Amino acid sequence: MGYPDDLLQYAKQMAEAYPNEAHQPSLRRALSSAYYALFHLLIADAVAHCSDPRFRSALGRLFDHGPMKHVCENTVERIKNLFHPTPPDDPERTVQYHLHNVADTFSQAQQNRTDADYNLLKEWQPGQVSLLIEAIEDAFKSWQIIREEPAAKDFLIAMIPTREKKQGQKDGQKQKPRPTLADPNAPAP
Amino acid sequence: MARDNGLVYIARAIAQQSVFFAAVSRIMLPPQVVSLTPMLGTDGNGNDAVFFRVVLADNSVPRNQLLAFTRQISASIIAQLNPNEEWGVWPYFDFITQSEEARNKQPIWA
Repeated sequence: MGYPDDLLQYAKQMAEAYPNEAHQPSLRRALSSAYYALFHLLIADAVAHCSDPRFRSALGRLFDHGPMKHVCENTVERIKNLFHPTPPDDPERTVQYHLHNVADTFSQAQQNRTDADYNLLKEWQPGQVSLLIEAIEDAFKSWQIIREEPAAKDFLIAMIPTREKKQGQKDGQKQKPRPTLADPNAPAP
Repeated sequence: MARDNGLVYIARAIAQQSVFFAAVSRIMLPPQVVSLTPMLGTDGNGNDAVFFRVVLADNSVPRNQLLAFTRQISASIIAQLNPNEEWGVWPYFDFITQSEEARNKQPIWA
């Protein structure tokens, strides 16, 4: 059992530590640990092809939460219509379905982790947290199914930070086409 | 004095909040969903976002089908609203049962 699995197991234990009580420290630790389980699962696979453990460790430290989420959001947007509303019916669509599951879960889990760690106004409930951890557990299963697929490797490669990508993200944030008040297709307020 | 005359993007959902909330209110959902409450804001990365609070009727969905059900609801909301492309906000979902929602304490200043 690797570190990501250990973290996920720990998250489940924390979520179930006080089943009849909304024990905020435990529930917040559970959400944070569950997110980090998925975070480290992806990084571990991304650096696994490097044979020297010292290089693996150094390479793993390059990954950053924001850019990884950015890749996940792009992935979700790119393939969201591929299998909706019909379920996947061929191997390629099945891979995309699981990739969507991983990317979407990562994006949602990162926001939940941010809330769990920093937003003390938000109160969590055991059933609510249990469902969120189940989603991450399901993303683990999806990742195990697709991790050797080219699409999954491309997904990880896209997460590797480079100077060009960082610059591109800065430019993209400035120029991201978004619906605005000036949008001619926007309905009148 | 330096001036920055660059374009400032305002997400359409934020610029036209009443229109956005009206669009959300038109979303069709199954009877297991008791309420759908959107809240506009920014996510942990500072991007415009909509946070949906989805309250489910207690025991309306078998526990072992709950995750799949919540995914169907999320997908349905995205398909009907298209929050990112049409409204410029990234959607986040928070599912909670009616009884757990009731147990949530009020903020200390309320």
